Amino acid sequence: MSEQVGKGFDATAGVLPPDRRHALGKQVFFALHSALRNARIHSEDNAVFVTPLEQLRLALYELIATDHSFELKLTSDGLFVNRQIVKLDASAGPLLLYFKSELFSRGMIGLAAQTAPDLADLRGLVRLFTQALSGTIGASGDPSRPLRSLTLLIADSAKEAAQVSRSTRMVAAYSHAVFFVGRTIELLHSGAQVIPAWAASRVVQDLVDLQLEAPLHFLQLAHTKAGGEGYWGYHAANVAVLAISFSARLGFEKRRRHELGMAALFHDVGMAALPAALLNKEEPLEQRELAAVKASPLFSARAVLREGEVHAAALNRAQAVYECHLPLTAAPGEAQREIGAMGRILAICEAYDALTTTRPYRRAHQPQKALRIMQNELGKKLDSRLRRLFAQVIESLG
Amino acid sequence: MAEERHQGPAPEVLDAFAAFSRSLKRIALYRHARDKHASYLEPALVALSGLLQHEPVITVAVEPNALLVSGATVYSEMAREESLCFRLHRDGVRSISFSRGLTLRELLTFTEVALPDERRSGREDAVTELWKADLVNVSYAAISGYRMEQGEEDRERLQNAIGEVAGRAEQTLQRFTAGIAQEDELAFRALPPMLGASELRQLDPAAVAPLMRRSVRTVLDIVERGYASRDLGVLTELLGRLIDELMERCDDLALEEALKGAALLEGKQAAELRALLGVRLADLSRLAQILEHANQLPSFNTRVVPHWLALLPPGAGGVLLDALEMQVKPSHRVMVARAAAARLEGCRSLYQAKLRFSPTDVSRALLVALRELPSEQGAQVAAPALLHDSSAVRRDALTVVASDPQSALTFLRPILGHDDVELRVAAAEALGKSQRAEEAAAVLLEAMTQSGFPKRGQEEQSAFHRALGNLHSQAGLEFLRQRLVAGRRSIFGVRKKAAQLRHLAVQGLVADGSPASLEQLELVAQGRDEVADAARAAARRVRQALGRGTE
Repeated sequence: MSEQVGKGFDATAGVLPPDRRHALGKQVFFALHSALRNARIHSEDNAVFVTPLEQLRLALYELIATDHSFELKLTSDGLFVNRQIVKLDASAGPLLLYFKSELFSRGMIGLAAQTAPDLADLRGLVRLFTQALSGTIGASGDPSRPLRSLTLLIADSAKEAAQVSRSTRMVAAYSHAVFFVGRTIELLHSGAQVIPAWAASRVVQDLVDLQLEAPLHFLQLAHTKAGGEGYWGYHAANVAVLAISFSARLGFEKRRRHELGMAALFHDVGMAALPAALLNKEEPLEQRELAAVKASPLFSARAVLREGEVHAAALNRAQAVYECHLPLTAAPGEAQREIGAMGRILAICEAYDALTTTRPYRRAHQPQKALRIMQNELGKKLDSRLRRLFAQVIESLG
Repeated sequence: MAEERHQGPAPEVLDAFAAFSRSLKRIALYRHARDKHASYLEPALVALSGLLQHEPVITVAVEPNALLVSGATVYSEMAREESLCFRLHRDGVRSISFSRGLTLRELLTFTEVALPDERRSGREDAVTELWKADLVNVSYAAISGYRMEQGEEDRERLQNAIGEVAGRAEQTLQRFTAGIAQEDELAFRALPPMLGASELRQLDPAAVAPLMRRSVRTVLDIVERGYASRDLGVLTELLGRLIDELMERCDDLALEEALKGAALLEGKQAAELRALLGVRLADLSRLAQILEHANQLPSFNTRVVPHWLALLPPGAGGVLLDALEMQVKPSHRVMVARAAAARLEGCRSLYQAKLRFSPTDVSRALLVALRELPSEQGAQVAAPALLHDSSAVRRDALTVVASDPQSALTFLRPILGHDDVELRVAAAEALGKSQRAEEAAAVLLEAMTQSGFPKRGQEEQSAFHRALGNLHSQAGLEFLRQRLVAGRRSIFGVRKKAAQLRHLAVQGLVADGSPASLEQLELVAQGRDEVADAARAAARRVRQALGRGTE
């Protein structure tokens, strides 16, 4: 799938002007995307498909009439219609991610037609998008009700399709994790209704599944960094990636890895309680500001606990979010708090990602340097045995 | 949602799901009998497995109130929160597929996930639970996407943000995964876990009880440090739910820690937390549960119940009184009664009604609790118990009522004419100890001069006379003196009766024991009859008591 579809070809070989082809390509994409989304809920006969299928039919008719054929192809580089790349706005990025993910999961990398399909054929295509038929399709779709005009472009090999699909899904899940955290902090800050935890749960389910499929690829996601206001979202998503990876290597079961991933996403949402100026301050913090920062773990716990759930998963999440910020040994005069395994793991992953990220007051450390700092300077905060095991996981990446 | 299809499911499909439906309904009916659920599902498993012999996969569409196969309803129910389809559909599940090889364990797990239950702890959403269950032969399809946008404006924001992050993540993967081959992945996946099973258990016991204790501590920390702010209500509710869970688990140590923690909590929001929590703890079903535990586990009695009761709000008296009617041990009953008595202001009438009409044990416990109140308050509240059917309650009530002089005068007066002789005697004796001697004497004399009084038993009459003497009142002394003197004449010619009255007067004067009484006794002692003998003996005792020697 590394083929660069547009390279070496004259994408404007047909008679259709590139701008028009591009516009039709977008029309096809949005119509197909709409059909794909609705097919998860409605059967192909539903009225909800009338408009998008009509738009699709008209666009395909014009493309085929002028270019003499239609081909929509998805690659890791983007979306191509009749070999011309279709550039989508940044706002359509998630739609494309979803679209790719859904088609790849069915082994499809595109669609083609030599003659304009009728509505019945297009409804047949919709039928392929319904859940019940997933995974059983060939180039003509469902063998029992084959498509007449349309041809499905099936990946050359399952392996190839799986790889592309996996990367897309990784990017989608990771992006949503980053968004979830950043947006949650914003919403908490403004006192608005936050995104429900189940939405994050879906993201973390995918992260856990993807880690299982391709642990090495998955771990690389933690190299994605950002500074400024976006830092907290990336940081939390990276901690989730690291925590899921590390706990998988330790031997934690799936549900526990999920709980860790969830806790990772929430572990710094307490920062919402702090003013932005303080979060991005480059000078040393004053006593009052330090106290506010020290309070943020309790705010993180509060943000989780305010969901009001007392089942083990929710409590584990809240405790890990709080405990990952606590020292293993209490300061003189302070009560010693028990710190669970999830808090210990998160503390390590959190420290590592923070150290390997550029912050307003210092540049990012290299992984080896970060591990040394964790050993020498953060010894009292981190579980020494887990820290050594974590170092092995990181070092195994070379 | 799902449209009518032309082709309906085959009869064997309908039969199989009818069996499944029957199993589900049976489970719903006997939700509490968890150990029986597997056996309820056995017929459904047989039917579904038979079907899966012919079709490798059966997919069921999930509607809010029905399961459909090929557009035809194979299971239906009311769309309400406690139904199976509602929970699945609400949480985004749109289809369920059963595949060949389905086991009873899988069917049971699926059913447990799908059916809502009444657990107070709450649950994760159905999709997450199904995902965690990791069932091999039961798969599901949920609404796709992460659905994080909340409205159109948010959708645009999400799309912009995701697009930017996705770009970075794609670049990361392109840059860092180039050298990773599929073989590397396979080799990495094949590595054994870094920790063995026992090491993992040691590191992460995943025990719920310590987790709950830590969570309670965290909630209290948030409130104590003043960080709860507008979430105080939610956090208190959560604390209450944690306490419910600890109660379900009979974890007395953790409960004690939680309740004491709440009681001793400091900070500006502490009082509000206690007030909110108190309302929750005052729920009658919870009180019943905690008392039931206390019946069975002695440690609850000392560790939990006192702290629980201490947190109840001032208005909880009525609930506490209702709780007293439950099956509780006597020691717990007194504890609950004390808690109710401490909240008397809001439940005075009910308290008195309970005193008057409750079973003996309950009323007696309520009277014990009243003894700890200021005597005037306790006596006034206790009065209705003087009319209780049980003599034991009446006697206990009398003790409480008598502890306050004014109440004794008011409430014991009618008791002197009660049918219960023991009660009459006790009332007289109690009045005999009153600090308001003349008033008490007047009450006693009123009773003693009733026409029926001479017909009462000798012991009772003695008691009344002694009580009168005990008061050292002028009126009492005068009455006794007159009776002693007047008795020299026969009453209606009955000499024996007159002698009895004089004997009683002697007893009263002995009880009075004053120099004036001694004088009267010595006067009568000069005679030669039985009364004179008694008066001589009485005078000796009085003289001794007065320190005047034997003659």
